[in-house]
Order: sequence, then structure tokens, then C-alpha cells
Amino acid sequence: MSEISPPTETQWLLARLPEGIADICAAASEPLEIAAALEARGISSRVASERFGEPDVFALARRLFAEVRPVPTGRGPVRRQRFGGPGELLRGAMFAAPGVMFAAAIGALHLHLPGWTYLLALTTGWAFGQAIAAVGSALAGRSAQLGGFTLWWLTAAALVTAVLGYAGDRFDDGGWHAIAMSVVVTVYVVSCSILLLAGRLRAMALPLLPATALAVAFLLHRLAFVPRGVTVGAIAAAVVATVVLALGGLSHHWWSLPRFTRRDLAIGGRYFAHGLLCGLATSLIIILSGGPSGHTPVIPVAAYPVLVSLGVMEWQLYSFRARIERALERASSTAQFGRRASLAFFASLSIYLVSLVAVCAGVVLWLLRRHDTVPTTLLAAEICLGCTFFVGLVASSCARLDAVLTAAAVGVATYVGLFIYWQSTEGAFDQGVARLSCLVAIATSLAISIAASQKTIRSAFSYQ
Amino acid sequence: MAIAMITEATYPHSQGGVSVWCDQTIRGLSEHRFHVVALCANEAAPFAWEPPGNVTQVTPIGLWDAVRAPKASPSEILRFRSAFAAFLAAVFENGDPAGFIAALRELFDLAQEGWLAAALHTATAVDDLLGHLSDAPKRDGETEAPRANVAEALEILSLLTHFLRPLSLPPVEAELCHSVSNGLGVLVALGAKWTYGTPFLLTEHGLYLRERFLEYTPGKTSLATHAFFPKFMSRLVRAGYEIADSIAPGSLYNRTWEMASGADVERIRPIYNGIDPEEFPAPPPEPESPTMVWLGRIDPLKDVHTLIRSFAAVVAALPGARLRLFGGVPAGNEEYAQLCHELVTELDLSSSVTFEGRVDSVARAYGTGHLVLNTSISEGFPYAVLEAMASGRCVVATDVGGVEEAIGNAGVLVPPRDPKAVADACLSLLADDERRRALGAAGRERVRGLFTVEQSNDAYRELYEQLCPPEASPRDAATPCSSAHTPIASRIGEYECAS
Repeated sequence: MSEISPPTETQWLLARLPEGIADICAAASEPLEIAAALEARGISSRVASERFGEPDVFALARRLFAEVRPVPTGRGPVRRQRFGGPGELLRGAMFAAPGVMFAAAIGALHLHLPGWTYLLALTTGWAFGQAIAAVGSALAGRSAQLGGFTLWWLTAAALVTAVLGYAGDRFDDGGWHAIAMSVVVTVYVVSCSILLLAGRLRAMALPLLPATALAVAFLLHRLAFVPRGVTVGAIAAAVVATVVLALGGLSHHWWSLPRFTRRDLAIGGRYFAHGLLCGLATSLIIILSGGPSGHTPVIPVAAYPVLVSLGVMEWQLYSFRARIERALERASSTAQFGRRASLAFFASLSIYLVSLVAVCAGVVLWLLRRHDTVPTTLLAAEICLGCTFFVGLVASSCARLDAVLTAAAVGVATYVGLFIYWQSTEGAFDQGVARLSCLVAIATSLAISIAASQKTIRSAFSYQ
Repeated sequence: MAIAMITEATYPHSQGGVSVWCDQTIRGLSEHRFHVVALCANEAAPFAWEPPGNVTQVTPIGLWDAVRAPKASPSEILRFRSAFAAFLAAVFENGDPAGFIAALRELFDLAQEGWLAAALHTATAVDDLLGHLSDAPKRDGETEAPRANVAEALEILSLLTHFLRPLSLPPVEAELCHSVSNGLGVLVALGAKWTYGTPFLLTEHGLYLRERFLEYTPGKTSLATHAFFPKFMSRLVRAGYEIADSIAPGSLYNRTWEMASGADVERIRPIYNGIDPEEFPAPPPEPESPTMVWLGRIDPLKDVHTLIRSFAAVVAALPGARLRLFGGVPAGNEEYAQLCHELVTELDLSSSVTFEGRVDSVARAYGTGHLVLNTSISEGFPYAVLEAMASGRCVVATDVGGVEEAIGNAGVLVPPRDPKAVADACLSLLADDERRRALGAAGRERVRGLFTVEQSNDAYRELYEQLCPPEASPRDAATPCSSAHTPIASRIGEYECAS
């Protein structure tokens, strides 16, 4: 039988004090901290004197500080970032849906679009979409009203695309439908960015998903009962609904612009350039897989792996953040954190890469069954491009795009350099050489972006 | 006289007792010119007050605004390491304020060169902080604490970068620095004192340190926050008392805390807040149904939860009773306000409790009830209580801070965080019309006799003249009058030697 010891004087004292005081006494850094807690619970100097025989609350606090055995405080409530899961996979997959939707629209409308249409729609849509997301986030961060910014930006995106489309038409033909399709894609992508900025993912999904379902059915030719008109109608309705929803949040000051700082403009410029380069690389792959004429009925198969892997990209970005959070909590020095962060990055990149390769293998097998093929160089370029996007996504989540921008600029310069070299030495730049040059340029860009982003990834300050 | 009035999260950006006092004091001392240095969340925040004509300038300092700091060179990082080590040692080792002030002085020099924020944003700062967090002196008998991690160090450095931002600003030029609270405003006063020798007057309405201690309660904040910020705030507040040429607490109660924190009693001169009696006409008749009124900002320190819980007990005994809450929700307190609304719903009080927001006339708001309640867990010398008394309504208030000094025998005091005590007092007073009205009348008399704005302004006028005598007061604001006032200047010299 254990012996029950009589309560000590301190225990007696604590038992007569309000609940929670014992914990505060054990964790306090000085007596005044205890005095504050005592007073906030009704133990004034008068009570300290009458009930506890101390001259005042400070004397009582000093006594408690001296007598209560200190206990190191536990960690406060920790909000853990969870690893990505099915939700992120689906969310990412949804970002691929517009690609499928517009591919079906092009097919259903029997459009024969010149290469510049893809180049224009993807670059302007991507660039304007990225810029509004970045600037909008900065404005929202300081509770500034977006006002008419979204409307003006959407209008500017449409006008710029229309003007460039007109120029493209003059240069390489295409007709009004090519210009119109470029404008529609751009307006749709920017509208989606506006909805995502406002956290209205559901508003984006609602019109998109039924239209995408019909688009898939149409593209697979499995559901013969889906009339072409219904597919086109559903896609048009989805586009209109998305634009309306995006502009639905406009305040009555829809014409007024918020006050921009230089920093906003710098951030906007950087993300605009990033979007531009992403669009450029993607459209290059689409154009290069579309045959020598550059005309293609739908988005070619070679462009699908990255689209399909967007879900994995989103999932791995979430998982990367969760890995980083754990690294921050477990590391007791910045060097240790740097090593863990680097491992987390390569783990996420590897998982994404394996998924992308698997999708590419699936595409190749599917094509083989159809006695078709896709150029290996193009698939390799596609894999490099997906990885570059992932690195860009990680860097932009750390608000450090500079490294990726530099790498992308080097990639563009490499492609242009190779083009000039082949033109001057061989006098031609055929499709095969163009694909190889594309692979070299994107691979160079990927290698540089991985190397250049390491400093950012390893710095703990990138995740504040 | 050119006075720099230093505020933190109050005038002219937000409402509340301290802002009321600032406005009254500036308007009342119209012979002086005021430069308001307002520490606030962000510089673009709108003003809640229109500064009067004798405010020559308002300089908002956005503590949370993004600032692009130039990179620090390797040699600058070396200098930073030495200064930061001294600073961390002064925070973690419970030394006298002189060491902390000397360490701040070193950081001030770096901040004035423009790269302190950048240096705080380096791996060196993280690792040095982690070293100090691990090696910090323990209390007697304390066992090994959980090892601090990089996430916690980042959290501390991020907050510290914002808190130390006043050190980076050009030192304020004035004949006198008057901070209306202890805390971060002291950094502005220190800059002026180090650069120009400007004398410093410290007014304390609330108790900055006490409120910070209540804010950084273990379990509510992260381990690192609790391990660092209570110590940092404690050192900063003590530094404020040390460098102040005069300390003007808003109550005798505040003085006890100041003395307990090491302030020199010789330099403490309590000055009570006051109200303008003209703004409080004779009380209107009481309403028909038993009504309780509360007026203030919705804030955890006001303990609105206890107020609502106590009212639930009142309503149980008096089903027709009403509780009217007047006052806005300051930015950052939205979650707490939501919890208050949820508590009202949970206790099934939605039909009898009304949140009525800000009001233009506080006298009219107080007049709508039989009783005025104040359930704060921390107060200085609250305007809410003075105004309620001046309105001729009986006050039931928690016995915190200077509330007892304000109420005297002309109201009812109850312990804080005790809904039953509040409810019992309310029910007793609602049942006794004669006593309730007599206490209301006595309160009105007490305020009109003891706590008027004129008395408060006269006391400050006198204090300004003591700190900066008119014959010594130069015309040029950049040449403060403290050159004739040597005691503090000589002590500052000691701090510098101590480093």
C-alpha cells in the first residue's frame, strides 16, 4: 500500500486558487505573469490579503513563482497541413478539363486552326490569368477592393488577343473563327483565374463539368446519341456562365481601379512573363505534333500527358507543403532544414515524374493499339515540360519565381539559338530538328530551374 | 511646444478609451502643437478620428506593411550577429533594463542604416535564436524544455521584424515625446532620445505588460511565442519605465504595477482620465422592462462571455429582462465577436440580447438601461465606467485595474470572470429601485467632482511645463529642451557603457 502524504502548503494554496492558475505558475517566466493571471481571475490585492495572508497580489505571485515547480510548456495548438489526397487529384484533374472541352469544341465545329491560334490563346490566356491571380492576391492581402480591376483586365485580355489574332490572320490566314476561338479561350481562362482568386472553385466547376463530360463523350465517339450541336451548346453555355460568374462579384464601383503599388506591378509583371513562357512552351509542343502544315483538327495526343497529370501535380504540391511543414517542425537548425527540404522536393518531383512517365506509357500503348505512334522526342519534351511546370509551381508557392523565369528565358534563348544555327548551317529547320530543339530547350530550362530553385527551396524563409 | 504624441493601435485609427483621451488632450491643450506618431497595422488604414487643427502632422507607421529591405553584406551580418547576440542575451537573462536598452541601441544603429529587417531575415538569425532558445536560463527546478524548432524561430523572427520596425524610422523631431502607452511606442521615444536627447513622458491608461501576459497564455500560443515574447515585452516595458523622465499612470492601481515592474516611484505621477460633464445631461427616466447596458469594444479583455452568461442567470429570474450591447468589433476580433453571438444563441438569449454596434451618443446609450455592466478582466481607468456614472446610471463592474478608484462607494464591484456574482448584483439592484437610483446619483456627483477632462488637461499642462519649462523651450522643434534636463541623458550614457 502506498503511503498518502499530506498536502504541502503549496498544494493547499493552489487548491484554493481558481482553475488553471497552477499551469500558469508552472509555465510563467516571471512573477508578474502570475500576478496578471491571478487578477484576471478575481484575485486582487485585497483578496490576496484577506484570503491568503499576503500583502498584495504581487507577493502572492512571487510566492507561487518560487514554490510551484516549473514545468516546460507543451507546444501550442499546431495546425498541420495535410498531405494531398483524392481531393487534390480531382481538383488538379479539373484544371485539365478546359483543354478537353476546347478540343471537343474545335472538333465539333470542324475548325481547322492554324498553329498561331494555339500559340496565341495559350500564351495570352495563361499570361493574363497568372497576372490577375498574383496581383489580385496581393490586393486581397491588404483588403483592397478589386473593384473594376477584374472587368478591365478581362477586357484588356480580350482586346490584346483580338488584335494579335488579327495580326496572326494577316500573317498566316485562319479567318475570323481562329481569332474568335483565341479570344474565347483567353477570356475563359482569365475568368477561371478570377473565380479561383475569389476561392470560388465550385462556381468554376459547376458549368465546366457537364460540358467536359459531353466533350469526352464526343471525343471518344462512344456516345453516338450526343449530337454535335448539344456538345457545342453545352461548351458555349459553360464559357458564358463562367464569365458571368467571374464578373458577378463586381461591386457597384465596377469602373474604379484599386490603388496599385510598384510591388503589385512587379509581381504582376513576373507572373505575366511566367504565364507567357508556359503558354509558349505548351503551344510549341502542340504545334510541333500537329504535322508539317501546322494545322490540326484537335489538340494532339502528345499534349495530353501533362494535362492528365495536372491532378498529380496538385496532389504533390500539397504533399510537398506538408513535408516542408514537418521539416520545419523537426529541424533544429537551418542547415538541417535545408537538407530535409531538398529531400522533400525531390520526393515530390520523383512521384510526379513517375506518374507522368506512366501516363506517357499509357498514351504510347493506346496509340500502338491504333497502329499509330508519337515522336519520342516530343514525349520526352512533354515530360520535361511537366517537370518544369511542377518546379515552377513549387517556386511560385514560395513566391520566388525569379529562378524559374531565368530558366525559362534560357530555354527560349536555346530554342532560338538552335533555330538560327540550323537555318545558317543546314538551311532548313524541319519538323524532326524542331522537335529535337524543343526537347533540348525544355530540358535545359528544367535543369536550370531545378538548380536555380534549390536555394529558394532550402531557405526556411521561403515558407513563411 | 512641439510634442510628438506616440500611439499604438489607437488614435487616430481606432475608437476606444485611449483614442478618446488622445482627442480630448490634444484639443484641450490647444496651445501646444502635436505631431502624432501612430503605430498601426498598415499605413493605408483609414482614420477613425479627424485630428484637430493643432495636430501639425500624423505619421502612421504600418508595423505589418511589407517593406523591401536591402540585403545585408557579410560584414554587416557580422555586426548584426554581435548586436543580436547581445539583444537575445538581454531578453533571456533576467538582467536590469540597462543591458536591454544598450542592446536596443545597437539594433537601432543597424536599423538606421536600413538593413536590420534584412538581417533578421537570414539563416544566421534563425540559428542564433535557436541557440538562445535552447540555452536560455531555466527557473530553479525546471526540467529540459522541448527543443525549439525552425518553424518557431521563424515565427518569432517574423513578429520581431514587425515589432522592431519603429527603430528603422527617422528619429522623430520634437521638444517632448509623449507616448500614450508603454510597449512599442517606447522604441520611437528611444530613437528621439538617443538622437536628440528628447525628454520622454509615458502615460499608461491600460497596463501594457499585464495585457501582453494575458495574451501570451501558455497553451493558447506556440511554445516559442510563449518562451520569447513575454520576456521581450517585459524587458521593453521596463526599458520604458527606465528611460521615461516622467510616468503618468491613469490610476493608482496602474502605479502599483509600475512599481512592481521596477519603475522609479519618484517619477510616477498618476493623472486620472476625465469626461466633459456638459456631454452628460440629467438622466432620462428608466425604461419599462428591466434593461442592462454594456458599452465597449467587443474584445476578449472585456470578457463579453461572462457578461452574456451572467445575463442568462438574470433572465432566468426575470424573464422580461433585456441586455443591450453597444460598441463595434475592432479588426482582428471578428472571431471573438462570432463566438459571442454563438454563445447568445446557445444560451437561447437571441430574443433578449441585442448587439447594437457603435453609437454616436454614449449618454443616450447608457440612458436606455437600468444598470450599466462592465465585466472586463483588465482595465486601466475606464471611460466606460466614468461615462456610465456621469449618465446617472448605477454601475456593476468587475474589480479590476482602477475601477475601484473610479467607482468608490457609488456602484457595485464584483470579482472578474464570475457570472453568478454579476447576476446576483444585477438582480439585487433591479429589485431595489431606491438603492439603484441613489447609487446612480452618487456616481454622477462623484464623476462631476473628481474626474473631469479639465482637471486631467490641467495636470498634463503642468507636467509638460515641468518637463519642458517655457523659458527653456526653444522655438526649434529639432532642439529639444532636455539639454537642460540632465538626469536621463546621463543615464543613457551609462547604458551605452554597459554594452
